[in-house]
Amino acid sequence: MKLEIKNLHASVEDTEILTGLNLELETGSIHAIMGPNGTGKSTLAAVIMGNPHYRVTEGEILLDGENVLAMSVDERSRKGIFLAMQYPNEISGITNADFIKSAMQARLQEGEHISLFKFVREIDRAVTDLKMNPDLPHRYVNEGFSGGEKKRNEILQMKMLQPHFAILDEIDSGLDVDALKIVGENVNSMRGKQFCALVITHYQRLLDYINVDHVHIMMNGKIVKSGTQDLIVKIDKEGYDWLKYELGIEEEVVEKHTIVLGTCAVKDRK
Amino acid sequence: MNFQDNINKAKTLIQEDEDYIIFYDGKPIRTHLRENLNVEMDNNFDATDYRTNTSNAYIEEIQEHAPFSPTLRIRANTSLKVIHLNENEKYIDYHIIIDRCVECRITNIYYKVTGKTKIKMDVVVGEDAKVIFKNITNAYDDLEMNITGFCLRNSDFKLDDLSMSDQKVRYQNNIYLVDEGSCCSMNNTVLNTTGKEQSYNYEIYHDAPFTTSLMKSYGISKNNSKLIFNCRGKIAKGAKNADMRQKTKGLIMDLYSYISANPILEIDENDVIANHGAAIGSLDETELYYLMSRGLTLAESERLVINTYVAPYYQDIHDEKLLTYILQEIETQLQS
Repeated sequence: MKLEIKNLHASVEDTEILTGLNLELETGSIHAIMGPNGTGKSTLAAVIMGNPHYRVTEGEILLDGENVLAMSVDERSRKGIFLAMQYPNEISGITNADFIKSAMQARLQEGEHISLFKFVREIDRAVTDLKMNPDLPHRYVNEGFSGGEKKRNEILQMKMLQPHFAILDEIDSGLDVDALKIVGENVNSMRGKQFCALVITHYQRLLDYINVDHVHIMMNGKIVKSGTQDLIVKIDKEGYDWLKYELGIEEEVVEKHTIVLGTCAVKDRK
Repeated sequence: MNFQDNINKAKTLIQEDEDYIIFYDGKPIRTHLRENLNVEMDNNFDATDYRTNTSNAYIEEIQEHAPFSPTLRIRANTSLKVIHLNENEKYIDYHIIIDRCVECRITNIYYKVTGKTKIKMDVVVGEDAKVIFKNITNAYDDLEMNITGFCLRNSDFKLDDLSMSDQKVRYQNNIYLVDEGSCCSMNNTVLNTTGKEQSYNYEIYHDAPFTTSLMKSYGISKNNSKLIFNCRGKIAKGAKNADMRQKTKGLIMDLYSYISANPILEIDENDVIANHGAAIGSLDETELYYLMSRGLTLAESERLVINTYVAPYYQDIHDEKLLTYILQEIETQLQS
């Protein structure tokens, strides 16, 4: 399967974040996107998933030739797109197990039902693989979870839903070294002909555990360079300045205005 | 629907060999009770026996006008269903007394209440008794409801109340923790889709030391309805080490619906715990987006979120017939 992003422009309110992004993902491969803060990496993830907060102004996203932008969020998910969110929501009152079961049920044809036995066996196995607390499926979705537990819970959902295209938005933030290794290994274990991951990260450390095939650097709302793992090593050593220099990219300077919030006990000098 | 049809319909909620009573216009007309349970028709119940004077004009009015004041006495562990059908009677007054050390589960259903009705119900939870009381109100006309609970020494009273009435409603549920070590949990669930105002007054009185209470209220307001929760807790002088907590959650389903949560905590003793929290809002778009990003449709996602407000009421019900009835009624209300 192929997910093609062509000349994608997207804005939030009146600010354009993505400025003509091109990217091609194919199942069987793992991609990483790196880049300085504020370059639009998370926006890209949100736009692919269909977050209504963002507005696509130009370009297209095609899934095996089918227009993804015309699909609702849930339709995209059922077609095999998955987003492991940077800040997963807490939903009180819905247990993890019920939520995942409902999501799996949503993928079945009308009249088909998930075998409860099979579901319990699969979720138990996934919880064990991720070395999560066994009571976690029975707790409310992300409620009272630590930052690391929330991230692992996203991977748990990914493992259960078996998407074709998984976008992992800064899945490494909030993870300690051990958890990072577990998450990395679990993403790696999903590698296969029917699976593609797009790993968004700032750091090399997650990519120590995930074997990526392609590395893309994003700046000012578009992919500016693509390459292999060598790129990661260079960025880890030298940062992004060399690339800005090489490509002649200038950072946008935000004009700052001084705002006086208020004064007190100030005496005018005569 | 005639009298017999109503009785037959009510009986569909009863499981085989289950203890039950069916009241018609305030009078017990069908019973299936073991020998340790019985209904006394004489009216010698006096709330002042339980050391708290609870008289007020509303209670006196019902006591004066209700033609029957039956008292249900529970002397042994049981799971009991009480179903009320009301068509003609304006005043309903009845009492439940649970003996000491008894563990029981009572499901009290106002199954079909038509005509403007005033209901008063007293529940006495004996020493060391443990009671789960599930109350369901489904009234077709204006309703005033007063449930008063008295918790004696070391008793544990769980009052779960579900209100999904079609008309104007005024509730007054009071629980008195009259003896040391008694505890209660009050879980209130209200669906107001009437387009009218419904007012729910919940009160818990800590009259003795080492008493514990937890009051949770969940409300959904739809179709320009107005829902008011007045949640009052009082810790009396001398009720040392009392622990009183309140939580209110409200979901507003459209632009002109309204929910108001008014927590009132009166504390006349030092060295106690008392807190409250309230959250009222519409469906959270980011929550819906999160659920939809896993493949659930908007309607399914909304239903899941709405369910979080009503599930606390029914999640401990394992009686298939009762559960089906409750889920159907909730669905009907939410679709209205």
